[in-house]
Amino acid sequence: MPRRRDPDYVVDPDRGSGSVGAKLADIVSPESAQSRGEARAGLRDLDSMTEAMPGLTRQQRDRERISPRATTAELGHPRMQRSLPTADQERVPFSSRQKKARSKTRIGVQGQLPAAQYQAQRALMTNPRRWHELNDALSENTGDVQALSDAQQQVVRRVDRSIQAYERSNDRGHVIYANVAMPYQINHSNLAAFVEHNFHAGDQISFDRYTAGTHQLHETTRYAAGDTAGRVAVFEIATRRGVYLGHSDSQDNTAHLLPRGMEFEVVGSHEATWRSPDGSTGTRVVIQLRDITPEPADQGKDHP
Amino acid sequence: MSETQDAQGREVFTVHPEILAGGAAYRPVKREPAPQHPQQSDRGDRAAEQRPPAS
Repeated sequence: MPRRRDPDYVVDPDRGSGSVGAKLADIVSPESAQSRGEARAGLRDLDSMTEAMPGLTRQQRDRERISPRATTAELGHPRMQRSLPTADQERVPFSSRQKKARSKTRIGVQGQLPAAQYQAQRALMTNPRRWHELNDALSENTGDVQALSDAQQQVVRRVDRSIQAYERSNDRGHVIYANVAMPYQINHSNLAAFVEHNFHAGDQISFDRYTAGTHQLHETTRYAAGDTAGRVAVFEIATRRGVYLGHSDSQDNTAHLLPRGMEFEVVGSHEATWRSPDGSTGTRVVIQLRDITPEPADQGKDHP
Repeated sequence: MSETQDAQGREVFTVHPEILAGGAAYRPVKREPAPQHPQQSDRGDRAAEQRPPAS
């Protein structure tokens, strides 16, 4: 549930509707935030019941679930987890080795995807209008895929399966950077204070939408170049989920798509320094998040 | 392995930059509280119907 620091409003970092793809935080009433939180809890309950229901195959359970199941492979090595950097740690470009390894996995997995899943993923990630419409529909319905139109449900299910296909082949952790625009009252003079006031360590937040980001703070900053007001902060997210949609080291492109229906705990916020491959540096206000998405599938492990 | 095509000859596409963006093109945020949709109460009812009775 969006966290509540003020009796009169709640900042929901995933609720705003914008014409671009970044997350757009919005101010909602405490009653609305509570209602949406209860709706999400109800949906999680339904997924738990689906997982506990005897006699269903894994495929049938996945089809009935409202939130996509995490399918991440075992970590290849504990060091491959990737933890959140400390506040004084400079955010540096991804190594060539990291880009090559993830790109190789991406291309290998993509080569095995059915045409329908490939087309759904490609259309979502290359068409801002489609991205906007589908994510707005998910947000309007608090992540309940079964409340979407049949056509939208079909696209969401296919995108979910394409993400899960990558997760099954990925033995690495991720730290993902995603832009988040704060409400219009916020600008460069009060962004850091607003973030500090509204995102405290231990707060829990929910993303009903898909989340697009990159593995590099300087790269995510480049995509936010149009933020002349200075109201765009960055989520720095530690997770094992999602699909790498960047390229190898021939391009400075490390895009990553996170699944819908994720929940996070705020670790903290601070101003972080980034360095780009050409040596230039800058700072961004980052909000560090840890993935705490519950997994009802754990309750269904006895059922094949 | 090709960096531009997968094994089926399909493009290794690039995510549209607007989807990763932030800033200038924002529409004003909606100021009213989120509307209460009929589906929300339906979902609550569905959860309540399927939830096992408390012992």
